[in-house]
Amino acid sequence: MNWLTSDLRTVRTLVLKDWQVYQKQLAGFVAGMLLALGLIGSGSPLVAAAGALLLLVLLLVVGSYAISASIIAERKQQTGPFVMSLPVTPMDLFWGKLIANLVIYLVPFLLVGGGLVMLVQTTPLPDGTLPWLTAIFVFTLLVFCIFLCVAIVVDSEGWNVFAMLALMTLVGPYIYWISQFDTVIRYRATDVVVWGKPLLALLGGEFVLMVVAILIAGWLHARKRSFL
Amino acid sequence: MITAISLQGVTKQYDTFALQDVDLSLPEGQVMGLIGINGAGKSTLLRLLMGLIRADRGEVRVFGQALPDAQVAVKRDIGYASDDMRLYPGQSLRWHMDLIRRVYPSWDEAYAAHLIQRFQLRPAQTLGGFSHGQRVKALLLLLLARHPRLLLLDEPTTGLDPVARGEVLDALGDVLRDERRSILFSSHNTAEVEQIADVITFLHEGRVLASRDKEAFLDDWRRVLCRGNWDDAINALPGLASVRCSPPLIELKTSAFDHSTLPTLQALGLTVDSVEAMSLEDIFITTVGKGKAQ
Repeated sequence: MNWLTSDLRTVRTLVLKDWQVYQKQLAGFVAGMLLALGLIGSGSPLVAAAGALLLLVLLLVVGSYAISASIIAERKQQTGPFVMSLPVTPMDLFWGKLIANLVIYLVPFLLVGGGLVMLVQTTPLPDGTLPWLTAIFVFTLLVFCIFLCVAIVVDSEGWNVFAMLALMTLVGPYIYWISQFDTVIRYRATDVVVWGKPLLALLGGEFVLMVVAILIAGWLHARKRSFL
Repeated sequence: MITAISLQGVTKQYDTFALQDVDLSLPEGQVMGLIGINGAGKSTLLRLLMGLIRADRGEVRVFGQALPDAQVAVKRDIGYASDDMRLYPGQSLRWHMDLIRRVYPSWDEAYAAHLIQRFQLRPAQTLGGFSHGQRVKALLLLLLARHPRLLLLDEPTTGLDPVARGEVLDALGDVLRDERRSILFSSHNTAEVEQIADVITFLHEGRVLASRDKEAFLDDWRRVLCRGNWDDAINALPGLASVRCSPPLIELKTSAFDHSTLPTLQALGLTVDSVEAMSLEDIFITTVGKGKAQ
Protein backbone atom coordinates (compact mmCIF):
# COMPACT_ATOMS: atom_id res chain seq x y z
CA MET A 1 0.00 0.00 0.00
CA ASN A 2 1.30 3.42 -0.90
CA TRP A 3 1.39 5.26 2.38
CA LEU A 4 0.87 8.67 0.83
CA THR A 5 -2.32 7.69 -0.95
CA SER A 6 -5.00 8.85 1.42
CA ASP A 7 -8.19 10.73 0.81
CA LEU A 8 -7.84 14.23 2.21
CA ARG A 9 -11.56 14.64 2.86
CA THR A 10 -11.74 11.35 4.73
CA VAL A 11 -8.69 12.20 6.84
CA ARG A 12 -10.19 15.60 7.64
CA THR A 13 -13.41 13.91 8.79
CA LEU A 14 -11.46 11.55 11.06
CA VAL A 15 -9.44 14.42 12.52
CA LEU A 16 -12.59 16.45 13.15
CA LYS A 17 -14.18 13.41 14.81
CA ASP A 18 -11.33 13.03 17.30
CA TRP A 19 -11.20 16.78 17.90
CA GLN A 20 -14.90 16.80 18.77
CA VAL A 21 -14.58 13.75 21.01
CA TYR A 22 -11.71 15.15 23.09
CA GLN A 23 -12.23 18.92 22.95
CA LYS A 24 -13.94 19.15 26.36
CA GLN A 25 -11.12 17.36 28.14
CA LEU A 26 -8.66 19.49 26.18
CA ALA A 27 -10.36 22.66 27.43
CA GLY A 28 -9.83 21.40 31.00
CA PHE A 29 -6.14 20.89 30.38
CA VAL A 30 -5.78 24.34 28.81
CA ALA A 31 -7.50 25.88 31.85
CA GLY A 32 -5.03 24.07 34.12
CA MET A 33 -2.12 25.31 32.04
CA LEU A 34 -3.37 28.89 32.17
CA LEU A 35 -3.57 28.55 35.95
CA ALA A 36 0.03 27.31 35.94
CA LEU A 37 1.07 30.33 33.87
CA GLY A 38 -0.68 32.56 36.37
CA LEU A 39 1.28 30.96 39.19
CA ILE A 40 4.56 31.42 37.30
CA GLY A 41 3.83 35.09 36.84
CA SER A 42 2.76 35.61 40.46
CA GLY A 43 6.09 37.10 41.52
CA SER A 44 6.62 34.71 44.42
CA PRO A 45 9.55 32.34 43.72
CA LEU A 46 7.89 29.49 45.61
CA VAL A 47 4.55 29.83 43.82
CA ALA A 48 6.30 30.32 40.46
CA ALA A 49 8.26 27.09 41.00
CA ALA A 50 5.01 25.26 41.77
CA GLY A 51 3.46 26.78 38.64
CA ALA A 52 6.41 25.71 36.47
CA LEU A 53 6.20 22.15 37.79
CA LEU A 54 2.43 22.09 37.22
CA LEU A 55 2.93 23.36 33.68
CA LEU A 56 5.54 20.71 32.90
CA VAL A 57 3.37 17.95 34.34
CA LEU A 58 0.30 19.14 32.41
CA LEU A 59 2.28 19.33 29.16
CA LEU A 60 3.33 15.73 29.58
CA VAL A 61 -0.05 14.54 30.82
CA VAL A 62 -2.11 16.20 28.07
CA GLY A 63 -0.05 14.34 25.48
CA SER A 64 -0.27 10.95 27.14
CA TYR A 65 -3.97 11.53 27.86
CA ALA A 66 -4.74 12.35 24.22
CA ILE A 67 -2.92 9.25 23.02
CA SER A 68 -4.38 7.00 25.71
CA ALA A 69 -7.92 8.22 25.07
CA SER A 70 -7.93 8.38 21.29
CA ILE A 71 -5.83 5.34 20.44
CA ILE A 72 -5.38 2.92 23.36
CA ALA A 73 -8.86 3.41 24.88
CA GLU A 74 -10.50 3.10 21.45
CA ARG A 75 -8.98 -0.35 21.15
CA LYS A 76 -10.35 -1.30 24.57
CA GLN A 77 -13.76 0.29 24.07
CA GLN A 78 -14.08 -1.40 20.67
CA THR A 79 -14.99 1.77 18.82
CA GLY A 80 -12.28 0.81 16.30
CA PRO A 81 -14.53 -1.57 14.32
CA PHE A 82 -17.07 1.25 13.93
CA VAL A 83 -14.46 3.56 12.42
CA MET A 84 -13.02 0.75 10.26
CA SER A 85 -16.49 0.07 8.89
CA LEU A 86 -16.54 3.57 7.38
CA PRO A 87 -15.19 3.93 3.83
CA VAL A 88 -11.60 4.43 4.99
CA THR A 89 -8.29 2.69 4.32
CA PRO A 90 -5.74 1.75 7.00
CA MET A 91 -3.61 4.69 5.82
CA ASP A 92 -6.55 7.10 6.15
CA LEU A 93 -6.83 5.91 9.72
CA PHE A 94 -3.09 6.34 10.29
CA TRP A 95 -3.05 9.92 9.05
CA GLY A 96 -6.30 10.66 10.86
CA LYS A 97 -4.92 9.50 14.20
CA LEU A 98 -1.54 11.15 13.67
CA ILE A 99 -2.89 14.54 12.64
CA ALA A 100 -5.73 14.54 15.18
CA ASN A 101 -3.35 13.87 18.04
CA LEU A 102 -0.83 16.41 16.80
CA VAL A 103 -3.59 19.02 16.60
CA ILE A 104 -4.96 18.06 20.02
CA TYR A 105 -1.47 18.42 21.51
CA LEU A 106 -0.21 21.39 19.54
CA VAL A 107 -3.19 23.60 20.43
CA PRO A 108 -2.39 23.74 24.17
CA PHE A 109 1.33 23.46 23.42
CA LEU A 110 1.43 26.55 21.23
CA LEU A 111 -1.08 28.43 23.36
CA VAL A 112 0.84 27.87 26.54
CA GLY A 113 4.22 28.22 24.84
CA GLY A 114 3.20 31.58 23.44
CA GLY A 115 1.78 32.58 26.81
CA LEU A 116 5.01 31.67 28.53
CA VAL A 117 7.09 33.72 26.10
CA MET A 118 4.82 36.71 26.69
CA LEU A 119 5.00 36.16 30.43
CA VAL A 120 8.79 36.08 30.41
CA GLN A 121 9.02 39.19 28.29
CA THR A 122 6.46 41.25 30.16
CA THR A 123 7.38 40.38 33.74
CA PRO A 124 10.61 40.67 35.74
CA LEU A 125 11.39 37.02 34.88
CA PRO A 126 14.81 36.91 33.13
CA ASP A 127 14.54 36.84 29.33
CA GLY A 128 17.67 34.71 29.16
CA THR A 129 15.66 31.77 30.40
CA LEU A 130 13.80 31.52 27.05
CA PRO A 131 16.28 29.20 25.23
CA TRP A 132 16.28 26.85 28.21
CA LEU A 133 12.47 26.86 28.40
CA THR A 134 12.23 26.33 24.63
CA ALA A 135 14.51 23.31 24.85
CA ILE A 136 12.29 21.80 27.57
CA PHE A 137 9.12 22.51 25.58
CA VAL A 138 10.51 21.00 22.39
CA PHE A 139 11.63 17.93 24.32
CA THR A 140 8.09 17.40 25.64
CA LEU A 141 6.92 17.65 22.01
CA LEU A 142 9.51 15.03 21.02
CA VAL A 143 8.37 12.74 23.85
CA PHE A 144 4.79 13.17 22.65
CA CYS A 145 5.64 12.43 19.01
CA ILE A 146 7.58 9.26 19.80
CA PHE A 147 4.88 7.97 22.16
CA LEU A 148 2.22 8.79 19.56
CA CYS A 149 4.07 6.84 16.87
CA VAL A 150 4.59 3.87 19.19
CA ALA A 151 0.90 3.88 20.17
CA ILE A 152 -0.24 3.95 16.54
CA VAL A 153 2.04 1.14 15.44
CA VAL A 154 2.04 -1.14 18.51
CA ASP A 155 -1.27 -2.68 19.61
CA SER A 156 0.04 -4.05 22.90
CA GLU A 157 -1.10 -1.95 25.86
CA GLY A 158 1.85 -3.21 27.92
CA TRP A 159 4.41 -1.97 25.40
CA ASN A 160 2.61 1.36 25.16
CA VAL A 161 2.72 1.85 28.92
CA PHE A 162 6.40 0.87 28.91
CA ALA A 163 7.16 3.37 26.14
CA MET A 164 5.29 6.13 27.98
CA LEU A 165 7.10 5.49 31.27
CA ALA A 166 10.49 5.18 29.58
CA LEU A 167 10.02 8.47 27.76
CA MET A 168 8.73 10.26 30.87
CA THR A 169 11.74 9.20 32.91
CA LEU A 170 14.00 10.87 30.35
CA VAL A 171 12.54 14.32 31.09
CA GLY A 172 14.32 14.84 34.44
CA PRO A 173 17.80 13.85 33.20
CA TYR A 174 17.23 15.90 30.05
CA ILE A 175 16.46 19.07 32.03
CA TYR A 176 19.52 18.44 34.20
CA TRP A 177 21.66 17.91 31.08
CA ILE A 178 20.63 21.06 29.22
CA SER A 179 20.96 23.06 32.42
CA GLN A 180 24.68 22.28 32.24
CA PHE A 181 25.05 23.87 28.79
CA ASP A 182 27.54 26.74 28.94
CA THR A 183 25.17 29.34 27.44
CA VAL A 184 22.39 28.27 29.77
CA ILE A 185 24.59 28.55 32.87
CA ARG A 186 25.89 31.97 31.81
CA TYR A 187 22.73 33.67 30.55
CA ARG A 188 19.69 31.98 32.13
CA ALA A 189 19.49 34.44 35.01
CA THR A 190 20.11 37.51 32.81
CA ASP A 191 17.95 39.45 30.38
CA VAL A 192 20.19 38.52 27.44
CA VAL A 193 18.79 35.82 25.12
CA VAL A 194 21.65 33.66 23.85
CA TRP A 195 20.86 30.38 22.10
CA GLY A 196 24.34 29.06 21.33
CA LYS A 197 25.25 26.42 18.74
CA PRO A 198 24.92 23.34 20.98
CA LEU A 199 21.36 24.26 21.98
CA LEU A 200 20.33 25.06 18.41
CA ALA A 201 21.86 21.79 17.20
CA LEU A 202 19.97 19.97 19.93
CA LEU A 203 16.68 21.59 18.92
CA GLY A 204 17.34 20.78 15.25
CA GLY A 205 18.16 17.18 16.18
CA GLU A 206 14.93 16.89 18.15
CA PHE A 207 12.86 18.07 15.20
CA VAL A 208 14.67 15.60 12.92
CA LEU A 209 13.91 12.83 15.41
CA MET A 210 10.21 13.76 15.35
CA VAL A 211 10.11 13.54 11.56
CA VAL A 212 12.02 10.24 11.59
CA ALA A 213 9.61 8.77 14.18
CA ILE A 214 6.63 9.76 12.03
CA LEU A 215 8.25 8.37 8.86
CA ILE A 216 9.04 5.04 10.56
CA ALA A 217 5.48 4.78 11.94
CA GLY A 218 4.05 5.58 8.51
CA TRP A 219 6.31 3.05 6.81
CA LEU A 220 5.41 0.32 9.32
CA HIS A 221 1.71 1.13 9.00
CA ALA A 222 1.89 1.08 5.21
CA ARG A 223 3.17 -2.50 5.39
CA LYS A 224 -0.12 -3.57 6.96
CA ARG A 225 -2.07 -5.28 4.22
CA SER A 226 -5.42 -4.86 5.98
CA PHE A 227 -6.89 -3.41 9.17
CA LEU A 228 -6.76 -6.51 11.36
CA MET B 1 -28.32 -11.02 -12.22
CA ILE B 2 -25.98 -8.96 -10.04
CA THR B 3 -24.05 -10.91 -7.42
CA ALA B 4 -23.87 -9.06 -4.14
CA ILE B 5 -21.33 -11.38 -2.53
CA SER B 6 -18.95 -13.87 -4.04
CA LEU B 7 -16.27 -15.91 -2.30
CA GLN B 8 -14.23 -18.45 -4.23
CA GLY B 9 -11.76 -20.82 -2.61
CA VAL B 10 -11.27 -18.43 0.29
CA THR B 11 -8.90 -19.52 3.03
CA LYS B 12 -7.84 -17.57 6.09
CA GLN B 13 -5.45 -19.20 8.52
CA TYR B 14 -5.02 -18.21 12.17
CA ASP B 15 -2.98 -19.95 14.86
CA THR B 16 -5.85 -22.00 16.22
CA PHE B 17 -8.51 -21.63 13.54
CA ALA B 18 -8.79 -21.63 9.78
CA LEU B 19 -11.52 -20.68 7.34
CA GLN B 20 -11.05 -23.25 4.62
CA ASP B 21 -11.90 -23.23 0.92
CA VAL B 22 -15.09 -21.24 1.27
CA ASP B 23 -17.19 -20.92 -1.88
CA LEU B 24 -20.28 -18.81 -1.42
CA SER B 25 -22.38 -16.40 -3.40
CA LEU B 26 -25.42 -14.27 -2.72
CA PRO B 27 -27.47 -12.74 -5.55
CA GLU B 28 -28.61 -9.14 -5.10
CA GLY B 29 -31.91 -8.80 -3.26
CA GLN B 30 -31.57 -11.99 -1.24
CA VAL B 31 -31.16 -12.59 2.47
CA MET B 32 -28.64 -15.15 3.61
CA GLY B 33 -28.62 -16.46 7.14
CA LEU B 34 -25.24 -17.70 8.28
CA ILE B 35 -25.65 -20.25 11.03
CA GLY B 36 -22.83 -21.62 13.12
CA ILE B 37 -21.78 -22.17 16.67
CA ASN B 38 -19.33 -19.81 18.40
CA GLY B 39 -15.97 -20.04 16.67
CA ALA B 40 -17.38 -21.47 13.45
CA GLY B 41 -15.88 -18.63 11.40
CA LYS B 42 -18.92 -16.39 10.90
CA SER B 43 -17.20 -13.19 12.06
CA THR B 44 -14.07 -13.98 10.05
CA LEU B 45 -16.21 -14.41 6.94
CA LEU B 46 -17.96 -11.07 7.49
CA ARG B 47 -14.66 -9.28 8.16
CA LEU B 48 -13.33 -10.63 4.87
CA LEU B 49 -16.40 -9.21 3.13
CA MET B 50 -15.74 -5.81 4.73
CA GLY B 51 -12.09 -5.84 3.66
CA LEU B 52 -11.00 -5.64 7.30
CA ILE B 53 -8.88 -8.76 6.87
CA ARG B 54 -7.22 -10.19 3.77
CA ALA B 55 -7.73 -13.76 2.65
CA ASP B 56 -4.60 -15.91 2.51
CA ARG B 57 -5.95 -17.55 -0.62
CA GLY B 58 -8.98 -17.21 -2.88
CA GLU B 59 -11.05 -14.32 -4.12
CA VAL B 60 -13.51 -12.12 -2.24
CA ARG B 61 -15.80 -9.88 -4.26
CA VAL B 62 -18.66 -7.59 -3.30
CA PHE B 63 -20.75 -6.17 -6.15
CA GLY B 64 -18.04 -7.46 -8.47
CA GLN B 65 -15.23 -5.53 -6.80
CA ALA B 66 -12.27 -7.35 -5.28
CA LEU B 67 -11.57 -6.96 -1.59
CA PRO B 68 -9.73 -5.60 0.26
CA ASP B 69 -8.31 -3.53 -2.63
CA ALA B 70 -11.64 -1.86 -3.45
CA GLN B 71 -12.68 -1.57 0.19
CA VAL B 72 -13.38 2.18 0.16
CA ALA B 73 -15.77 1.97 -2.79
CA VAL B 74 -17.37 -1.21 -1.49
CA LYS B 75 -17.84 0.06 2.07
CA ARG B 76 -19.90 2.96 0.74
CA ASP B 77 -22.48 0.34 -0.26
CA ILE B 78 -22.24 -1.81 2.86
CA GLY B 79 -23.82 -1.38 6.26
CA TYR B 80 -21.84 -3.47 8.74
CA ALA B 81 -22.66 -4.14 12.36
CA SER B 82 -20.97 -6.67 14.57
CA ASP B 83 -21.47 -7.86 18.08
CA ASP B 84 -18.09 -6.42 19.13
CA MET B 85 -18.70 -3.00 17.56
CA ARG B 86 -19.25 -0.08 19.92
CA LEU B 87 -20.18 3.54 19.38
CA TYR B 88 -18.48 6.40 21.26
CA PRO B 89 -19.89 6.24 24.81
CA GLY B 90 -19.24 9.92 25.56
CA GLN B 91 -21.03 11.18 22.43
CA SER B 92 -24.71 11.51 21.70
CA LEU B 93 -26.67 9.66 19.06
CA ARG B 94 -27.12 12.99 17.24
CA TRP B 95 -23.32 13.37 17.08
CA HIS B 96 -23.01 9.90 15.55
CA MET B 97 -25.76 10.71 13.04
CA ASP B 98 -23.95 13.90 12.02
CA LEU B 99 -20.72 11.95 11.58
CA ILE B 100 -22.38 9.38 9.35
CA ARG B 101 -24.16 12.11 7.39
CA ARG B 102 -20.82 13.77 6.67
CA VAL B 103 -19.35 10.49 5.43
CA TYR B 104 -22.28 9.18 3.37
CA PRO B 105 -24.08 11.45 0.90
CA SER B 106 -26.95 8.94 0.83
CA TRP B 107 -27.92 9.73 4.45
CA ASP B 108 -31.69 10.08 4.72
CA GLU B 109 -32.54 12.44 7.59
CA ALA B 110 -36.29 11.86 7.29
CA TYR B 111 -35.88 8.09 7.51
CA ALA B 112 -33.50 8.55 10.44
CA ALA B 113 -36.18 10.59 12.23
CA HIS B 114 -38.68 7.82 11.50
CA LEU B 115 -36.35 5.19 12.96
CA ILE B 116 -35.73 7.32 16.06
CA GLN B 117 -39.49 7.33 16.67
CA ARG B 118 -39.83 3.66 15.92
CA PHE B 119 -36.95 2.58 18.17
CA GLN B 120 -37.88 5.17 20.82
CA LEU B 121 -34.37 6.59 21.01
CA ARG B 122 -33.34 9.99 22.31
CA PRO B 123 -30.86 11.67 19.93
CA ALA B 124 -29.47 14.01 22.59
CA GLN B 125 -28.60 11.20 24.99
CA THR B 126 -25.01 9.99 25.14
CA LEU B 127 -24.43 6.38 24.11
CA GLY B 128 -22.90 5.61 27.51
CA GLY B 129 -26.38 5.90 29.00
CA PHE B 130 -28.00 3.55 26.47
CA SER B 131 -28.98 0.00 27.33
CA HIS B 132 -27.58 -2.81 25.19
CA GLY B 133 -30.82 -2.97 23.22
CA GLN B 134 -30.78 0.77 22.60
CA ARG B 135 -27.14 0.60 21.46
CA VAL B 136 -28.01 -2.11 18.93
CA LYS B 137 -30.96 -0.08 17.68
CA ALA B 138 -28.81 3.06 17.45
CA LEU B 139 -26.25 1.17 15.40
CA LEU B 140 -28.96 -0.18 13.11
CA LEU B 141 -30.39 3.32 12.71
CA LEU B 142 -26.97 4.60 11.63
CA LEU B 143 -26.78 1.81 9.03
CA LEU B 144 -30.32 1.82 7.72
CA ALA B 145 -30.71 5.60 7.36
CA ARG B 146 -28.07 5.67 4.65
CA HIS B 147 -29.75 2.94 2.58
CA PRO B 148 -26.79 0.61 1.96
CA ARG B 149 -27.21 -1.94 -0.85
CA LEU B 150 -25.80 -4.70 1.34
CA LEU B 151 -26.18 -5.25 5.06
CA LEU B 152 -23.62 -7.42 6.85
CA LEU B 153 -24.87 -8.14 10.33
CA ASP B 154 -22.77 -10.21 12.70
CA GLU B 155 -24.99 -11.58 15.48
CA PRO B 156 -27.22 -8.46 15.46
CA THR B 157 -29.65 -9.71 18.08
CA THR B 158 -27.25 -11.28 20.57
CA GLY B 159 -28.07 -10.24 24.12
CA LEU B 160 -31.36 -8.55 23.23
CA ASP B 161 -34.53 -9.17 25.18
CA PRO B 162 -37.42 -10.70 23.19
CA VAL B 163 -39.16 -7.34 22.68
CA ALA B 164 -36.04 -5.59 21.40
CA ARG B 165 -35.21 -8.62 19.23
CA GLY B 166 -38.67 -8.45 17.71
CA GLU B 167 -38.30 -4.73 16.98
CA VAL B 168 -34.94 -5.26 15.32
CA LEU B 169 -36.24 -8.14 13.20
CA ASP B 170 -39.30 -6.09 12.23
CA ALA B 171 -37.04 -3.25 11.10
CA LEU B 172 -35.01 -5.68 9.04
CA GLY B 173 -38.25 -7.04 7.62
CA ASP B 174 -39.10 -3.53 6.40
CA VAL B 175 -35.71 -3.25 4.76
CA LEU B 176 -36.45 -6.44 2.86
CA ARG B 177 -39.31 -4.76 1.04
CA ASP B 178 -36.63 -3.14 -1.07
CA GLU B 179 -36.00 -5.95 -3.51
CA ARG B 180 -32.53 -4.73 -4.41
CA ARG B 181 -31.30 -4.82 -0.83
CA SER B 182 -29.15 -7.81 0.12
CA ILE B 183 -28.51 -9.00 3.65
CA LEU B 184 -26.03 -11.46 5.07
CA PHE B 185 -26.50 -11.99 8.75
CA SER B 186 -24.94 -14.44 11.11
CA SER B 187 -26.62 -15.93 14.12
CA HIS B 188 -26.79 -19.00 16.24
CA ASN B 189 -30.47 -18.37 16.73
CA THR B 190 -31.96 -20.55 14.01
CA ALA B 191 -35.52 -19.37 14.69
CA GLU B 192 -34.79 -15.79 13.61
CA VAL B 193 -32.78 -16.97 10.60
CA GLU B 194 -35.74 -19.12 9.59
CA GLN B 195 -37.95 -16.05 9.98
CA ILE B 196 -36.25 -13.77 7.46
CA ALA B 197 -33.63 -15.63 5.40
CA ASP B 198 -34.07 -16.78 1.78
CA VAL B 199 -30.84 -18.74 1.76
CA ILE B 200 -29.34 -20.71 4.62
CA THR B 201 -25.65 -21.40 5.04
CA PHE B 202 -24.27 -23.67 7.73
CA LEU B 203 -20.73 -22.93 8.79
CA HIS B 204 -18.81 -25.24 11.06
CA GLU B 205 -15.12 -25.28 12.02
CA GLY B 206 -14.28 -22.90 9.20
CA ARG B 207 -16.03 -24.91 6.48
CA VAL B 208 -19.32 -24.43 4.68
CA LEU B 209 -21.33 -27.56 5.45
CA ALA B 210 -24.32 -26.57 3.37
CA SER B 211 -25.67 -23.53 1.57
CA ARG B 212 -29.10 -23.75 0.03
CA ASP B 213 -32.42 -22.11 -0.50
CA LYS B 214 -34.41 -22.17 2.76
CA GLU B 215 -37.51 -23.78 1.33
CA ALA B 216 -35.46 -26.53 -0.30
CA PHE B 217 -33.73 -27.12 3.01
CA LEU B 218 -36.96 -27.48 4.89
CA ASP B 219 -38.63 -29.55 2.13
CA ASP B 220 -35.82 -32.05 1.75
CA TRP B 221 -35.19 -32.79 5.39
CA ARG B 222 -37.45 -35.24 7.21
CA ARG B 223 -37.42 -37.20 10.43
CA VAL B 224 -38.82 -40.68 9.81
CA LEU B 225 -39.84 -43.02 12.62
CA CYS B 226 -39.93 -46.68 11.62
CA ARG B 227 -40.50 -50.00 13.25
CA GLY B 228 -38.69 -53.23 12.35
CA ASN B 229 -35.34 -54.97 12.35
CA TRP B 230 -32.10 -53.20 11.57
CA ASP B 231 -30.65 -53.84 8.15
CA ASP B 232 -27.23 -52.48 7.08
CA ALA B 233 -28.80 -51.53 3.77
CA ILE B 234 -30.51 -48.66 5.62
CA ASN B 235 -27.11 -46.93 5.69
CA ALA B 236 -27.29 -46.66 1.89
CA LEU B 237 -30.47 -44.60 2.05
CA PRO B 238 -29.92 -41.39 -0.01
CA GLY B 239 -29.15 -38.34 2.17
CA LEU B 240 -29.12 -40.29 5.40
CA ALA B 241 -27.73 -37.92 8.02
CA SER B 242 -28.55 -39.61 11.30
CA VAL B 243 -29.79 -42.98 12.54
CA ARG B 244 -30.90 -43.93 16.02
CA CYS B 245 -31.77 -47.52 16.61
CA SER B 246 -33.66 -48.61 19.70
CA PRO B 247 -35.25 -51.91 18.63
CA PRO B 248 -37.83 -52.20 17.39
CA LEU B 249 -37.86 -48.39 16.84
CA ILE B 250 -35.57 -46.77 14.28
CA GLU B 251 -35.34 -42.99 13.85
CA LEU B 252 -33.88 -41.73 10.59
CA LYS B 253 -33.07 -38.18 9.54
CA THR B 254 -32.55 -37.60 5.87
CA SER B 255 -31.62 -34.57 3.79
CA ALA B 256 -32.99 -36.11 0.56
CA PHE B 257 -36.54 -37.06 1.36
CA ASP B 258 -38.66 -37.60 -1.76
CA HIS B 259 -41.38 -39.87 -3.14
CA SER B 260 -39.00 -42.86 -3.24
CA THR B 261 -37.91 -42.73 0.39
CA LEU B 262 -40.89 -44.48 1.99
CA PRO B 263 -41.13 -47.32 -0.61
CA THR B 264 -37.40 -47.92 -0.11
CA LEU B 265 -37.86 -48.24 3.65
CA GLN B 266 -40.87 -50.52 3.22
CA ALA B 267 -38.86 -52.67 0.81
CA LEU B 268 -36.33 -53.11 3.62
CA GLY B 269 -39.06 -54.54 5.81
CA LEU B 270 -39.68 -51.44 7.91
CA THR B 271 -43.06 -50.07 8.91
CA VAL B 272 -43.16 -46.31 8.79
CA ASP B 273 -44.90 -44.87 11.88
CA SER B 274 -44.50 -41.17 11.15
CA VAL B 275 -42.82 -38.66 8.86
CA GLU B 276 -42.13 -35.22 10.36
CA ALA B 277 -40.77 -31.99 9.00
CA MET B 278 -37.70 -30.76 10.84
CA SER B 279 -36.95 -27.37 12.31
CA LEU B 280 -33.93 -25.48 11.03
CA GLU B 281 -32.28 -25.95 14.41
CA ASP B 282 -32.71 -29.70 14.21
CA ILE B 283 -31.39 -29.68 10.64
CA PHE B 284 -28.36 -27.65 11.73
CA ILE B 285 -27.58 -29.90 14.70
CA THR B 286 -27.95 -33.00 12.54
CA THR B 287 -25.74 -31.52 9.80
CA VAL B 288 -23.02 -30.61 12.29
CA GLY B 289 -23.30 -34.04 13.88
CA LYS B 290 -22.98 -35.69 10.49
CA GLY B 291 -19.90 -33.57 9.74
CA LYS B 292 -18.28 -34.66 13.01
CA ALA B 293 -19.09 -38.30 12.35
CA GLN B 294 -17.45 -38.09 8.92
